[in-house]
Amino acid sequence: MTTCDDIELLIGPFEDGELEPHEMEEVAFHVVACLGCKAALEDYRELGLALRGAVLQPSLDGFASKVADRIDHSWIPLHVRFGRMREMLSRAGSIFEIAVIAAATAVLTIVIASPYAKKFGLHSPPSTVVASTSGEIAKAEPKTIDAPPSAPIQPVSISRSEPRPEFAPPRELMLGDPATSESQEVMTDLTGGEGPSVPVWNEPRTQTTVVYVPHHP
Amino acid sequence: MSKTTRPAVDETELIEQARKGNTEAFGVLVERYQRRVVGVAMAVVHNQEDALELAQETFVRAYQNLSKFESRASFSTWLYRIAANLAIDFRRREGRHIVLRGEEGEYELEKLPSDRGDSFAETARGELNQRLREALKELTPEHRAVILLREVEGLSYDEISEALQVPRGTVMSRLHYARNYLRGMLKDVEKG
Repeated sequence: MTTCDDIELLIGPFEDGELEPHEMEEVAFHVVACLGCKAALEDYRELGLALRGAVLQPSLDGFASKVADRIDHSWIPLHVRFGRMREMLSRAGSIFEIAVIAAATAVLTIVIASPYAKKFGLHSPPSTVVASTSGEIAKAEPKTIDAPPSAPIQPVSISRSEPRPEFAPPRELMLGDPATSESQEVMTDLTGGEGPSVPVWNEPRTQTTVVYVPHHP
Repeated sequence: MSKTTRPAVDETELIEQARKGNTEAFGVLVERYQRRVVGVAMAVVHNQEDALELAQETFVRAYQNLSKFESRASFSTWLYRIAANLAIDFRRREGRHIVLRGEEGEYELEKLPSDRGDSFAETARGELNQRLREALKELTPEHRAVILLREVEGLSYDEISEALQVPRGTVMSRLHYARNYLRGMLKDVEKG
């Protein structure tokens, strides 16, 4: 048999529904039979009602917008900022998003890659290139374009005993002044001397002189 | 989808969206919990102006730390805990100052006149409310916080325990003490 002292501590939790099922049952049986504990339970209920009436709730008008303002003016973690940007972009539409990403990529490429390109000589000064007998250049068909008057053809003879053209500095093969013969191509067939016939042409736009040496196995 | 499971799903989705930076989704969460968060702050600091300020700060902190929130936990309990921590820190920091402002706030509320003519029941209810507010001020902040969180905000014992970071047994004993104290006061009003 449970006493009032045992039950007293459980009346509040019983009213709050915070007891285990067997305790709820125990208190319920006791309260039905005990007038003192029943009165205590009634008092707790009245107290709860009175408290809810006595405590005045503050007005929450504009509360959410004030919170939003504070968030806008407060420190926000980077990952949340990036998330916000993504959210904005997705709302603006995929085309705009692609355009922004493309522009950003281009800017980044220019900003990041340019210094490295200069550093590693990717923008090297014009140089003369002598083609080898193999590879793609050997497949290229030399074509004849009218030579400008200011670019007299300098015959060059390369004998069989001489090393391959790639070992010979082809300074003397430069035809004309590239600065004055923009976008013109010069090709000639060098047949002077005892050497073999060697087609040579100049590409002013790339400032490159190409010597075509047929491969003789 | 049943009606009972929908709010939980929505809340998880809202939290996920807010994590990604969607402020509108977070705004919905603010609307949903603002009253209770203000109530938790009120229960601890017992002053409306400070409670509103602390509640706003609670939501800002929550937004900033959403990545730390574990989805398996209860979002509301997490919010109440932030609010209670901020309010307890505030109370410790402000000390006596907060009590004086609280008294001024109560005085302003009590001076509000009734324009409908005071019936006997209204007068009696007004007296009861006034006595209750006075009795609440006589309680220690710890006892007051627990009974307000339970009776006014309707928090469960576990939620109170989590928010105030005290054992459940402590919640029960504080609640028992506060109830008996206020009950005695109510008896005195009835007798008088």
